[in-house]
Amino acid sequence: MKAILTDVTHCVGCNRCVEACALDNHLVERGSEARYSREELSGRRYCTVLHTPEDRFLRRQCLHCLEPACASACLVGALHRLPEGQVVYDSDKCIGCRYCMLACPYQIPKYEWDTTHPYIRKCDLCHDREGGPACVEACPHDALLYGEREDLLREARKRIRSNPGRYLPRIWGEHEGGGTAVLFISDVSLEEYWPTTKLEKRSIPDLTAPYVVSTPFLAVGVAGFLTVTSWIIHRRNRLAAEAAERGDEGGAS
Amino acid sequence: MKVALRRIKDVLWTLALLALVVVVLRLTKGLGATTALSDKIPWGFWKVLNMVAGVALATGGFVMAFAGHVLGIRSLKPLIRPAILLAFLGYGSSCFALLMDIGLPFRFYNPFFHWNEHSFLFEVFWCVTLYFTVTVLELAPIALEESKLGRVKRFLGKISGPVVILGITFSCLHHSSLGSLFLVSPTRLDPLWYSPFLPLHFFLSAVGAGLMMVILLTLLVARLYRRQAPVELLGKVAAAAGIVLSIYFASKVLDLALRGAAGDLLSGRWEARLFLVEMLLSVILPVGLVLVPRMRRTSRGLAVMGLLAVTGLVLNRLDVGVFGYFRSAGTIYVPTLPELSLTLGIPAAAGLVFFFFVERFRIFDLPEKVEEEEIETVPATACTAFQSQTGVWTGVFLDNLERWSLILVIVVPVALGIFSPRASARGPASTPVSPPRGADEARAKLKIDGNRNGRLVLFDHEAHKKREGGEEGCGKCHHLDVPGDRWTACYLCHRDMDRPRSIFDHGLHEKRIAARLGLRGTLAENHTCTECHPPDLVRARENTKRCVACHEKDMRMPERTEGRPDLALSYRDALHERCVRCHEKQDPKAHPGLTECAACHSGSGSASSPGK
Repeated sequence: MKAILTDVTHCVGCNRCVEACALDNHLVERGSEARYSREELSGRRYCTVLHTPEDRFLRRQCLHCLEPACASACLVGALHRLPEGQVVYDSDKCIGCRYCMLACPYQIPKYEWDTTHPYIRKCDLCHDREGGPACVEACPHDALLYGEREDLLREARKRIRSNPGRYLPRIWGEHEGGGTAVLFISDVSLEEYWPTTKLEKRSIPDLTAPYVVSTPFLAVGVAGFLTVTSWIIHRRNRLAAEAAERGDEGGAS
Repeated sequence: MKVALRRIKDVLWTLALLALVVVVLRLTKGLGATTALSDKIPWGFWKVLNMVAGVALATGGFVMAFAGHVLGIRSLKPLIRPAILLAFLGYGSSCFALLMDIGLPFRFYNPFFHWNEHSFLFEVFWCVTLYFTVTVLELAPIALEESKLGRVKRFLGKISGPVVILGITFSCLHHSSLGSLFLVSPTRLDPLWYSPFLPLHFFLSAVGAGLMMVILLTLLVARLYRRQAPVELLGKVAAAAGIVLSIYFASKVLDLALRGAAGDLLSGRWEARLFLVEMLLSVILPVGLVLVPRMRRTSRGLAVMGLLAVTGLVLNRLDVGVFGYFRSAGTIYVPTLPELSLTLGIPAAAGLVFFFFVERFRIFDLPEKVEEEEIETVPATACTAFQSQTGVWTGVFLDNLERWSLILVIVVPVALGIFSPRASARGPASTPVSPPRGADEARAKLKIDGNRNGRLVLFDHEAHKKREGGEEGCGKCHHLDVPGDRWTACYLCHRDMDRPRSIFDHGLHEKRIAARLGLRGTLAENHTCTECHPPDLVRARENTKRCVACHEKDMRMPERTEGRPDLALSYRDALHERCVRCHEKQDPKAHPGLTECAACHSGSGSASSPGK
């Protein structure tokens, strides 16, 4: 399973990853000022670098959840997770309902609001690019590592163990919201950027699955109940009417 | 009343025509140009008010079908047809609103072919389309009543049983699924509304308010067409709605208590207040009115409780679908005029279709008993009486030319005025920039932390400027080709601090120290010197008492430099605090380079010049 490990203590906020991402995904023309603009994620920006109040630089990009809420919400299955772990988007299926945008706890999927026929846009972990994601390749400070998730978790634990003063003993993304492919280690708390912490290791699809599973049973139950009730009541009414008729006849004769 | 009906239709036509303009605009310019939706608030009025709330208000259809057809309650018969019509219109307009709301309307059929059974929206989509088909099948026999399509009618009659049961099943599913839609947002929807019981809440409130909607429509028709409203029957329906709403209320209270969110209600947050208003409108007031028998027996009382419950339901859906997301999104959403126009225009168009059906077909067939009472004023059959009102429908277009021109005169300028496309790119607002401190003659003497050691010294900017060659000399200290940290510190030029400087007035210090310590006599007698120059040490700069020992307060850089015109920032702080902060606040797109650390700190040695 492919993953990215982000070492927040290494990042100096140079935005090279943003530039590489924009160029590789043909979001801007070469030589533009994309790199210098401190924009939020948008339909034309799949990753960005936040300057936090603690004076750290925090990369924002799709975290590629192991159990993505967006994919569970997408009614046509346009957003889906590849076997290698990348959460990707099939624009041919999309109808533009934007339920994924509502579902994503990190508010990652963005929309092309400025076009007449808009699509959802987000990072796809460069799943069809040779040599891994463009952002990782561009990072000059080794803040980004790309590889198998298990290896990166091991690497993260090694770094935290060998340098306990430098890192908080926590890997953001290991369990939050069921785990994500993009992992963070840091010397300041990233709690604010991980709203899924309060779900206690459960993913959003975990929360909604019981409701989905119960739907067919509910349908059969309701339909069965209605049929039976309807039959009983109509039969009773019919019998009562017949009885009344007979009673009338009896009275008449 | 004929005039009132005509006026109402005029208003509805105006709203519907305005909405038609919006539809054209939305299809040609796209969602972004017509709505206030954004990446932060992706769902707005069209989806939440028109679709979610619209569907909820149409629940009367399946509830009446359940009570009338399944439970066989005969007395409800007069309300079944209105309820079916309501369901048809409610679902029709919801489908249309959804069609306008999705980004790629021409692909509306995709969910039929691409399935994701795990999505609640998938379930809602299927149930809503299937139930809409059911309402069409239920309405068809009514619309075909007077036609000669005997075979079709017989077929429709035959399938009516299963159709009704299917309709109720779909309704039960999707009304709860509409609540489940928001279960995906445990971290984003406000905890006052987010609940594992959302499906139950949505189902119960929709049933209660849907019944109230049937009451409202019956009262409206009775009033507009001068019929006697079946108040007694409506009172019973209101009582039923009251019971459902009470169960809803109980489930809400229980839910808040179980989740421990009840304490949050009194926190004074605007969400808490909104929640209380919503509960008041949607449950507490209507149920309170239902409990008063006198209110249930009058049209006015019924109308008031109906209006309250319906408003409350719409507010609830907006709370759950839109307002509850504001805090986590960190922004709010105010619909644009075109958006509002379509939001109002869809129900307006549905209203026109409603009047069409009411006037054309036997929808409202009031109970015999009531008609007997009203026999003097109202013709025996409802149908013919309604048909006399069909001015707009029966093609008398020219007769009403002036009304049509009036409507057009209103619609066209309003459409042109309010629907002109949003200004796409606003430039940065101009902000007056004050001249750099020190360049201001009046405040030529500044305190600067020139050596970046936290000690302030008096600094005469103008004198320095003159000495270093005027404007040409700025670069000697403020060199833009050196990255920020390598500024020109004072000591780089002033290496001879032990020599007397004009900035330090020795005589003034003697006098002031003597006065403060109460020393009298000549300098030699009063030992003022020893205050600063220890007598037993060599007279050198290192041994002299440091300025900061006395001027502690004056020479320490204060926390805040705002409102202190005598303080100058260091070159680094000036760039960081002034230029960068200000440009970050302003439109960062105007001068993107300036706000970026990497613009100067690029690591390659020389700082690139900030972009323009």
